[in-house]
Amino acid sequence: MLNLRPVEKQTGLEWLPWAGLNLHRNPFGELTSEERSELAVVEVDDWLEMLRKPMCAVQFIGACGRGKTTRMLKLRSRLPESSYTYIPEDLPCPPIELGNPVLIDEAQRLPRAARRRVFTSGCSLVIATHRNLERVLRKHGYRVITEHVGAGNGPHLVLESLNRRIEASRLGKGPVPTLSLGDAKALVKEFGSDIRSMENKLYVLFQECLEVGKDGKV
Amino acid sequence: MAKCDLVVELDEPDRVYHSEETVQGKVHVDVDSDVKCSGLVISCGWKTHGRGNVAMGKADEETVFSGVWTGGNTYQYRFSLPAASWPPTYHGKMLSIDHYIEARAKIPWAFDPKAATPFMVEANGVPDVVASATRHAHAKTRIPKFAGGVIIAVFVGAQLFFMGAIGVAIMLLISTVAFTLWFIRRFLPRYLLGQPDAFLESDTLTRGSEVAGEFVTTTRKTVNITAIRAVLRATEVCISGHGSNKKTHRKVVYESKQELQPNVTLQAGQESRCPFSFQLPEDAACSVSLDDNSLIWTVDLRVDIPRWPDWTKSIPLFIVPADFRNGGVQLASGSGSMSSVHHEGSTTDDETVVNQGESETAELGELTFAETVDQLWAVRSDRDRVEMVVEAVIGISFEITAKIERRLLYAGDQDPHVYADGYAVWAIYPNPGLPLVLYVPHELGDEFEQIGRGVWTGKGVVVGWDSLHGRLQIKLDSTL
Repeated sequence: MLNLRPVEKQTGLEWLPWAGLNLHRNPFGELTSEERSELAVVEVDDWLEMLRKPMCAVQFIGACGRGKTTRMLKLRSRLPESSYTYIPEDLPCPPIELGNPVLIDEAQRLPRAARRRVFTSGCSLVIATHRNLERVLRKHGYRVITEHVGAGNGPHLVLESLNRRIEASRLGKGPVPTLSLGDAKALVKEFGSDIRSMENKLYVLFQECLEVGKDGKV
Repeated sequence: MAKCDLVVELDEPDRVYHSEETVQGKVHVDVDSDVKCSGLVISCGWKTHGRGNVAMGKADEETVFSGVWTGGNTYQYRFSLPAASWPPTYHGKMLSIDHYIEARAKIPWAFDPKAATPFMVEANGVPDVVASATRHAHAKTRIPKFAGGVIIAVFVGAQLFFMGAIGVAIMLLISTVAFTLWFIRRFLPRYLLGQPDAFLESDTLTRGSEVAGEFVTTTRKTVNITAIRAVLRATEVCISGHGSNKKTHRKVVYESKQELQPNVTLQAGQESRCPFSFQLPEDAACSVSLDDNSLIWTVDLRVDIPRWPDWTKSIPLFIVPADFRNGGVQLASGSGSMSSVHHEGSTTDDETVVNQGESETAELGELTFAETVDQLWAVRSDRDRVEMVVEAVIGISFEITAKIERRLLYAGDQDPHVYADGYAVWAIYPNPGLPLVLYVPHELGDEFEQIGRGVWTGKGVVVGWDSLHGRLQIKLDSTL
């Protein structure tokens, strides 16, 4: 049960609605790409090593909300020479920048012409996709490393990931609300590996706590 | 790893700052071992938080230190930065807007430590570029209609082409459903009510003022009506995610209902008028439109007709802050639209741009690329004005200076300017940093390869504006 016990508000910041929880915002609202990358609980060192080799492609496969884009953003933050392109569903394919490596999100949506240009470029690739593109990549001479995203989203990872988000919304020194391992287990039981749905639920819980002025457990 | 803690302390944390007033305070830096900092940057800006994709803006920033911090010491740096003029601080349910002073220490080869403290901002007025953007946001219903038309056309075409008679049957079924909906929702209420309409005396108002309007109709025959209802509403509309993950969240945060005329009879052939009026709350939130985050005010009317489909109309309303210096926002007579909001004694940016356009035409031969860039930079937040300036310089050849950013692997589906065997390059004008896209012919390929990320100078013709990425499109020609 999530404990949202109020704390003493910082002097001068009483006007801020979240100050009672020692936060400056709802921790489970949308984040910028930079924040998502900073807060990601994911190890990328192995992939960074692999991507140093030529003609290497790393693909992340998984359903929505499991962490594909988060991995891409984390890699992007560690690779200053990389380029990142998101392929939208219902709009024309945007320009794809040359980079080392080239990161493409929702790569299954690449139109034929763009896919040919990218896969024949010889650049190292990192792709997030719902469909396995390993065969096509191999055909173009790539060595492919496939990561199935979501399988590792157990209670411990969920706990660390969600508590990091709360910590990132901290207003000042002192305690902030935290999730327990029990909370994380309950969330995993309800939502499986879908972290985005967990965040949505927590957004509503935090907002309700603020709106009705509840002090205690949600 | 060395500890480097930052704390932002404001001199007046509970003060309400007005547009562009100076925010003062100090940043404390606490390090436990020697830390090399390539820049302690203190910035003043705003950010949305909540359900929608984050929108943010920066008013100003300053670098107050660079060098080495010695371990075990605490340092203090004073700052004095102007607050942004827009948007005002707002705390809602799905959307909140806060202004922050943020301190960030740039540490080579490590995550940059940072700290931020919020402060409150009350806007004095709506900057013209913002008013224009808000107007666009409220008028965007045309785009989905157009997009919907295109999607329907493609769907119909595909059905007919691939499925033959079955496709025709499906299309007939869909058309029948669509027609029935239109007939029930649009045609029937109008058929009974004649020419129903509703309007507001002014659609741009300040907090605490009166929203006055009227419902007018002349019916063909005498009609009994259960009620005419008007609702003043403020709705937060936030969009989260992109593409297939895109989701629109709506939350009504203010609602005031009025039953204007219960059980009224509208006489045939007579004009019936039903005025309404609401008092806006003194603390009403301003209308805002910040990318994927909006607060929209509307007056929604419903004519409840017994045993007949109701007539409805939603009228957008723009709530703007009162200018505390001039004692009120000035509204132009007539339409009262957002574009006409300006302060006493000032010239609107619209007028400025038109004048600039005229002088450009007069002195076309002397116009330089630097001047063009300056003009675009000055109006870059307003798409209409950017397009106006670009329109005026399309086809003109300039001596271009551009700092190369990156070559494109693929220039997009709908880019007609790319040379068949050439490529597109993203670049930036050195100062101000206006983004450019250069279309490079094959014969200049080697030259660009050698430049890398350096500065390129040569001839190019302006061919348009990439509104998606905010870049001026320039076609290079080795023969120029």
